[in-house]
Amino acid sequence: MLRNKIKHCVFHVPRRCYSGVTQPIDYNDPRINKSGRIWGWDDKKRRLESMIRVDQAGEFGAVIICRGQASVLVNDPVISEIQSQEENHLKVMEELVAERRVRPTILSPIWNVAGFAMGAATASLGRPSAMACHKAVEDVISEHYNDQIRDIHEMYNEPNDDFTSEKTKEQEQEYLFKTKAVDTREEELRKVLKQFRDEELHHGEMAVENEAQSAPFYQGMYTVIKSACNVAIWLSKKI
Amino acid sequence: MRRFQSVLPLALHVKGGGPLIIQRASLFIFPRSYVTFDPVVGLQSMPETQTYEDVNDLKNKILDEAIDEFVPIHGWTEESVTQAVKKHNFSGVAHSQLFQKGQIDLIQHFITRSNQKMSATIQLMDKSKMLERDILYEAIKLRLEQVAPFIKNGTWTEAMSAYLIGPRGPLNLVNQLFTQMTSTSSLQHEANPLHSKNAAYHLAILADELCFLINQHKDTNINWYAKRAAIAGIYATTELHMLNDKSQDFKDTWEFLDRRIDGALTVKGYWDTIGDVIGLKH
Repeated sequence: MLRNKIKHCVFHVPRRCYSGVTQPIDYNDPRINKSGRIWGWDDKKRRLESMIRVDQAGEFGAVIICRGQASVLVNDPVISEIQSQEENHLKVMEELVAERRVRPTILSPIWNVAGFAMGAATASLGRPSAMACHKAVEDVISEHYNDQIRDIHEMYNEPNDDFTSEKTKEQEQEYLFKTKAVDTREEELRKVLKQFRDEELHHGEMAVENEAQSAPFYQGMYTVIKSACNVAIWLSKKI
Repeated sequence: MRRFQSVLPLALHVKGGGPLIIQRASLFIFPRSYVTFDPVVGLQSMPETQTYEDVNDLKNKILDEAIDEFVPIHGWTEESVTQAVKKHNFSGVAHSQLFQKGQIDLIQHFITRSNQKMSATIQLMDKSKMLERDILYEAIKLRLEQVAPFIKNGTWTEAMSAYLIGPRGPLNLVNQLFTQMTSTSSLQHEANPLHSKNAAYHLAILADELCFLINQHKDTNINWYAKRAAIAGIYATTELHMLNDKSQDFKDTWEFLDRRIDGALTVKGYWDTIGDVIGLKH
């Protein structure tokens, strides 16, 4: 009776894991089979939380890079267009973080400083270099979005998914009901990710059209920025 | 049938072992070594059978009974868990299988239960005329009031030390580490000297819930951590203060809590200005 009245309370479901904190596996758990680990309700939730955390960090980084470039190349039409779209993405991701009570990344001050520095440095090397920076970043981000979409697809089409006990399915439904997220298969999130992926790809194309590849040391800069972004993504997933 | 599979070995520990078909079926499904009851003795006395839908429900039920009935008698020890398990006609083997951490499981269950109760009552309350700080005050007070009877008994210090340091105390630290590294049985959990990690985890969950109740959970920057740390600090210091409070109805503690919240608010002002200067906020 009381349970149905409460809108959103994390303690109603047994919480074995908290976002970012790993707990030892409890083999008394009925969801864990002899054949191996089954996708539990908590696992899905934890993975989705990690995804949203890293997406929010990534969009924040993109906005900061754009700001850094805009501080050097004032009133550039391409950069301002990209910046406005990235700010839109960031707003959506922040709403998702608040809605699902995801822990945001603790490294945001570092991304703040590092992103601004990278944007300003590349922009001061000239407009083509700034575009090359954009090309590298957008490539990494669009790949990353693709990975996430694939992960969500796998998560909900796992062959083991049929064996999850009815109890956990009930819990999942209850949680979704409480959070007003009616969509069980995360269709809405997938749609958002797909849209963002396409827009990031479009940004990359725009950068190439604006002579990104004529920048000095294009290949070197491209690989360095790409690997830096990969490290940032790896860190933001965890902490 | 699949959903009952994990429960079946537990049902076997019920005295009598249940109906014969289930006994035969479970012998077929599970390896011989897993069966720990004597079928002949079981057939002689056939009490009514008990079936449970979910192991977690059963566990929660047993721990609830342990806290309500046996903790006032035996304290926060493994003994009270054992008594509660015995009440459900389980053998000692079932006890060690159900609650591998024994005492720690009991304390954890109490903590989550009181968090639940606190969160539910605050969410159903009429908060339209309340300030954020008043909601926070009420929430922490409600949470601590559930610990109050055990503090009056003097048993809560025992629970806290067991939860923070481990059931065997700090003197046995080397021994505990050795046992943890070598053993593969349930002793591994029991002798873990690093239970403070677990305690920190539960404190973090409580702080998260309190932040949600005062509607301050929407940050996406470093303030998210600052708020939770401040609230966790308030809660932890107040609980420590409460342990030595001898006043009527813990009057001193509530005053102390009021002062802590005021202090945190002034610190928050400093933090905001510092954050503006350094550029931590975005």
